[in-house]
Amino acid sequence: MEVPENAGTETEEGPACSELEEAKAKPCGETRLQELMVLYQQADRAAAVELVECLSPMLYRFLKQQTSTRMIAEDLLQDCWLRIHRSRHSYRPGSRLLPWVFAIARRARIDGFRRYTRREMRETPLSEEFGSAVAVSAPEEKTPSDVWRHVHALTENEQEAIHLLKVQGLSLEEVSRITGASVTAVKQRAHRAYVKLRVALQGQK
Amino acid sequence: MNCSEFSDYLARTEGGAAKRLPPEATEHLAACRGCRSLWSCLSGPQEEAALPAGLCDRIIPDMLDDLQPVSATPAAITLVLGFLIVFTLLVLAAVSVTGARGAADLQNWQLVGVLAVLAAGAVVLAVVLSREMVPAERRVLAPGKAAVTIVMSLVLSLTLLFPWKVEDQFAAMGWQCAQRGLLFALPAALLFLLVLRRGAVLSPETVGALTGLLAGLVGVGVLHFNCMIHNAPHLVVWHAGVPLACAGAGYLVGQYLWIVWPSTGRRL
Repeated sequence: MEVPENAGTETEEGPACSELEEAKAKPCGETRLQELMVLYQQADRAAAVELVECLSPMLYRFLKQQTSTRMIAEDLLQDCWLRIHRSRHSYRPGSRLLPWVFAIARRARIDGFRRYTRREMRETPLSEEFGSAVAVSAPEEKTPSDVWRHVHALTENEQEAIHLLKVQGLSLEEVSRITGASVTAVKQRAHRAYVKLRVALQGQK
Repeated sequence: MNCSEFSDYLARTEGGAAKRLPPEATEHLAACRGCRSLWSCLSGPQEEAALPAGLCDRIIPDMLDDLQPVSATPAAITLVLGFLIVFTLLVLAAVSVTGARGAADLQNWQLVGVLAVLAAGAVVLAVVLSREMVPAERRVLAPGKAAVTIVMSLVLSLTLLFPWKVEDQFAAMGWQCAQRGLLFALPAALLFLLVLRRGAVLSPETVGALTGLLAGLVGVGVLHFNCMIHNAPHLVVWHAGVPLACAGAGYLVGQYLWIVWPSTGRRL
C-alpha cells in the first residue's frame, strides 16, 4: 500500500467515515470477529471497517502497555494493521481470531522496539525544548488501577503473559502459541508476575 | 493455601481472572492483605483502552483502498506436501542431470542411512516451516531445536557410516563439492520461497534459516549421489557444511528483509 504520509488526513471525509458510523455499537464477540475476518478476506468493506473498530482498542492497549509514549503506540498500531492487512490470507476460517491477531501484534511490537532502538542509536536527541513540546502534544495516560501501574515494573515477557491471560482472557495454550513459549513457561511467567505484583502491592499499602 | 500457591492458582486459571475461588483460596485471601489486593485488582473492572480520536479514521481509508479478495492459506498438510514435492523433484532432477556415479560405490546401508536422515530432516523442516507460515499456529517442535537436531543427525550419520580417512587435496576437492552443493541449493531456496508466499512470515530470520537449511539438504542429497569421495571428514566438512552455510545465508537474508521490509517505518 503505497500512500503518502498524510494520506489519512486527506481522505477522511470519504465513504470510510459513514461505514465507520454504521459499524459502531455492534457486538465484537469471537464468533462475530471470525465472521468479520472471513468477510474481510472476501474484500467486504463494511466488515473491514467493523473489524478495525472492534480490534483496535484491544490492540492499542496491548501495544501501549509496553511503550513509553502514545505516539509510538499509535505508530505500532498502524504498522500492526498494515501487517494484518498483508497477512489476512493466512487466517484460516474457523480458527480463533484473537491469537492470530495478537501474534501479529506481538511481532509488530518487537520489530517496532528494534526499529526505535536502532533509530535512537543513530540519531542525536532533540533539544529539551522540542522534547517538552512532544511531551505536551502526547501526554502520558495514567492507569487508574494500582495493579496496572505496577505491571510496568515487570519484565516484558511477564507483562505480556499477564496482559494476554488476564486482560484479553486468552487460554494458556493460546498465549503459548502467540509467544512461541511452552505452556509451562507461560505459567511460570504468570506466576512470577503475580508474586512480584503482590510484593509491590504489599509495599504500597 | 499460602501466597505462592495462590499465585500458582492464578497462573493456572484460564480465561481472565476467575470470579469464583475455591474455598482454600478464599480462606487465604481473608488472611493475606497482599493477595487480597492483587485479587481485587485483577478481578475488578479492567481499565478501558482510550483509543486516540481519529486513529481508526487514519487506518481505515488506506486499508479499503487496497482491499482485494484473497484465498486463505492452504491446510498445513498441503504446505508440507508442497515443500516435500519440491524437495524430491529437485533432487531427482539434479541427479538425472549430474548422474549417480558416487552412489554406485556406496554400500546399501550407507546409501539408505544417509538418505533416511535427509528424508527425515526434510519432513521435519517442512512441518516446522508450515507452522511458521501461519501466525499463532501450534508448534510441534521449536525451530531452533529442529535445526540443531537435523544437523547433528546428519553429522552423526556421516561419521558413523563412513570411514574416517583424510584424502589428498582435502580442501581443493572439498571446495568443489561444496560449490556444487550450493549451486543446487540456490534454485531450491527460490522454489521454496514460492511455497512460503502462500503464508505469512512473522519471523523472517527464523524462516530464512529454516528455508536455507532445507535448501541445503537438497544440495547434500545431490552430492550424496554424485560425489566420488566417501570419507567421513570430507562428508562432514564439505557436504554437511552446505546446509549450515545455507542456513546462515537464509538467516542473513531474513535479517536484510526485516531491514528493508516495506512495512517497517512506513505508515499504512
